[in-house]
Parts: sequence; structure tokens; C-alpha cells
Amino acid sequence: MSGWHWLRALMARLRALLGREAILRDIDEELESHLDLATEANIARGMPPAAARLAAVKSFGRRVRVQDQAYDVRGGGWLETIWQDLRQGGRMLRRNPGFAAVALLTLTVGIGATTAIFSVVNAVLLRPLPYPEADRLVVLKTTQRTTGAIFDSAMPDYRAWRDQTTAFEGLGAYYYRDMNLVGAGAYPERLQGARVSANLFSVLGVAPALGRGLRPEDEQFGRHQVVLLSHGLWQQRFSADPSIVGRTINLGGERHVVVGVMPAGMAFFSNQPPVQLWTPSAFAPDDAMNSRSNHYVRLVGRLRPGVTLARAQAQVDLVASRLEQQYEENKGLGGAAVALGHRAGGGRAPDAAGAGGGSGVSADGGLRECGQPAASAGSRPRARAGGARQPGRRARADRAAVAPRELAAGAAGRRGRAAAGLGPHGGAGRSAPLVPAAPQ
Amino acid sequence: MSVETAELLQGTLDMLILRALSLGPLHGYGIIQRIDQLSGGLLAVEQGALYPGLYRIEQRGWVKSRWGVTETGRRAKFYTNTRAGTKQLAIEEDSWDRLVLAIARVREAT
Repeated sequence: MSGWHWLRALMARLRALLGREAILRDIDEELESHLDLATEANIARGMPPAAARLAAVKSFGRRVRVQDQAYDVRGGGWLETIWQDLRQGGRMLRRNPGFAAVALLTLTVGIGATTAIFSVVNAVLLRPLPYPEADRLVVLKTTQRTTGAIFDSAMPDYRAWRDQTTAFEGLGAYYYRDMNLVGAGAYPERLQGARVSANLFSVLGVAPALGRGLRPEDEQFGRHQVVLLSHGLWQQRFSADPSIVGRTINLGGERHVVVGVMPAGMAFFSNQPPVQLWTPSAFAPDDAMNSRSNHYVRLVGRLRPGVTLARAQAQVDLVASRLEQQYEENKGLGGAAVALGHRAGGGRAPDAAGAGGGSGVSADGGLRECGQPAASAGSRPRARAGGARQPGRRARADRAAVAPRELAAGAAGRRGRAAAGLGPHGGAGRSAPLVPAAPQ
Repeated sequence: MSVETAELLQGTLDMLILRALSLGPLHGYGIIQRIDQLSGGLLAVEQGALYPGLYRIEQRGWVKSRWGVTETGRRAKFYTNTRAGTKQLAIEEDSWDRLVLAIARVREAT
């Protein structure tokens, strides 16, 4: 009511500003008509016309004041006052161009500085996930239909989804991995790394600050020994040396060429754990990562403009059902596309919210942790860089690849199987399968 | 007017205008006449002061106005209660009654 009233008053004032004369005339006419009516009544009571008019004017009160008050109510008022002030100000400025110039300059600098400061604050503080058009980013998970459990994905499934769907502009993959930096500077250091598909950064829409990103050929096994540094690592270990690009560093005994440095503040999802090094994901043909039972990589895709999540999901389903028919390991497995932008608890992955412990993934779990659920932070598989290539060490890598306790701490029913090293279908493959549990 | 008239309490003009108009459309002078008549000549509204008050309640949407012609053929602006005005009249009379009752009780008690 009061909002309505306010609006009505404002409209009246605007009208008044536009039609000031009309309103004054209307008020004047009404007051005049009042006096006429009063005069008429006085005459009817027997007064002579002149006296009748005089009496009417007298009992009316001070007409000028009434007129002012009436106009104040019906329009003008503060809006007209502001308008007059503005015009007065404009005249003043025109008369003093020097003062006007200084005032204008002050305003320009003031507004400019404020905008600049806000831009920085906005970029640094208010935007934790600075990926462009993040609403098109989608997390893709592998699901087990019978239990509703949610897994990371197997490399072969990733490749199938990447190559056989059209909904995504790009579908990237990554997984966390510790890396040992040796030789550069005084001390060896264990660093948080991630192995990523060459297209991941373009999927996310992030370009390196220095050097180049990853290229498709970096994924070819044998040409894969390149690395991107985080801005922080570059500053701490390499003194922000711009000539680092092209130099070689030693990661766990393997020499890697530094091809680029990522920008400062590059959030790698929740930055939990903060990634310091990125290397391309490339695998020898007999690598355990090529196994269909080894559910290890996290997938994030960018939808093509205008493509809905539902359409992407339909394509993911189609590919999943093809894989199911083709491969024993894929029996009972599906895929769930979850928008990255969803808030915690809001969304449940389609298909994933069903039976079996109700382990629906919160979409935000997909975003914040990106398959790195809070419960499993710090429980990254301990497979060592390069270890998988040496037969003597593969066993160790495989043992390490069994889902760590925390990862499997999902629905109670799954825990035993996961601890026993059984995959989603219960049959262990050539290498022990990984069964990361859904975020709780 | 005569010495026997009562001062109009602040804030009661709206109520009186709405009450006067509850019997049918009136022009400004007619409202003055009606109030005078209904109060038995006891209430004198300063005639000019009627208009700012009238415009105010028009802006609040309680009355609406239209130019017309009187029985004697004179041009005048006629006012009518709106539905919101009728509702407002009930509200104001209610609170007025309570005020009168409260004051009466206080006066009886002492």
C-alpha cells in the first residue's frame, strides 16, 4: 500500500513537473469555482452580490497560501526544488569554467579510482572460481546403477565420452598426484601435482601467464615430459624467473621441460589441495590407467553454447549403454553430468540419487571437490610418478591404487567391497580397481 | 462564524471529508456545507484549508475527482470516495472511537 502510494505520489510529481502550468490552472479554477459557489449561496441568503462575494473571499482564508500548499501537495515540491537546484548549478558551472573543469576532473579521478579498486577486489576476493562462463561447465561422473554409487571415471570411458558426444565443446580429465621436485635449488620437495588432459585448460578457459599451455602432442607417451608451474611455485622455487620457460626440472628422477606458468590466483576448483604442478596425462600402452576397471580420473566438460545439461546427459547415457554392451567391465555403469554451478545440496546427480545408501552427489560436491570429497582430502592415491612404467614397481603402484580407506568410506555396504579391492562389479581386473566413494 | 464553533483537531479533516463524501459526490464547497450541516454548525472548517487536505487524500487514492456542472449550471470539481477511501474511513472512525472512549474513561476516572 505504502509502496503504491509512494509511486503514485512520484508520478504526480513528475506529471506536475511536466505540466506545472496545467496544475496551477486547475487549482486556480477550482478555488475560483468555490468562491463562485459560496457567493451564489450568500446571494441566495439575501446578500447583495458585492457583499456576497466579499464574504465568500473572507471566509475562504488566505488564497495565496492555500494555492501554495495545494500545489505543494499536487506536484512540484521537492522534485521541482531539485530541478531548480540543478539548473542553478548548471548556470554556475557555465559561468565558472575553471571551477567546472576542476570539479569534473575530481569526479573523473574519483570514479575511476573507485572503479579500479572495485575491479581488483572483484577479481581477487569476490570470484573464487574465475572461469569464464562457468555456467557451461559440467562435472561428469561414473555411476553404478544398482547402488547409486558415484565414481571417478576410467580413462577408456573418458576417451569414449570425449570422442562420441557432441554436447561438449571439450571434455577434460585430470587427477591429483604428488610429485617430487629434485635438484632445483637447495632441497628436494614433495609437491602437489595434477596430471591433466591437454585440453583441460582450454575447457576451463584459463590460459598460462607465461609460456604455453598443453598441446595434444604432449599427451603422446614419450613426448609427455613437460610441466606447467603454478604462479606460487614459480615465485617460491624459481624466484619468478621469466627465463624458466624452456628449462628442465627434475620430477622424481624424470626430466621435464617447463613449458609455462599458470596465472596467479588460478583456482584449480576449490584449490583443495592447491596444485603446484601440472603435467599432461600420458600413459604407456600397458599402463594400469588404461584399464577399464581403474576408475581414477575426474572429468569436467564445457557445454557447447545453447546445449542443455539434459541433452548432454542423454548423449552420456547413450555412450554408456554402448560401452555396457561392449565391455564386461562397464556392466551396470552409467554416467552423470552435473552442472558445476549448482549449490550444495541443491542438485542430485540424475540416476545417482537412487537406491543403495542414497549417495546422491551434491552438485556442489562435484564443483568444490570435483570428486575430491572433503572426507577424502589428503587421501590421494600414492602412485608414484613414473612408477607404473617399471615392471618391478608396478605392483606397488597397483597396491597404492586400491582405493584408500577414506575414499571408500561411502555407504556402509560399499565399504567392505572397496576395502577388499573389488570394483563396482566385484571383479578385479588386471590391476586393482579404484572405487572412490561418493561425497557424503 | 460564531464564537461557539469547535476547533478542528489535527488529523481529523481526512475523516470528515471521507464521511461527508460517503453520502455521495460533492464539490469542495459542498463538502464544507455538508460538514457544517452534519455537525449542526459546531464545526467550522477554514474553507481554503480544505483543498490541500482534499488533494492529499486524492493522491493517496482515497477519493477521485472529475469536473462537472452544478444544479445551478456552474462548473465545479466533484469528488467521490474510492473503495480504498471507504475502507480508510472505517479505519479512521474506528481509531477515533477508541480515542474518544479512552479519553472519556480517563476523564470519568478522575
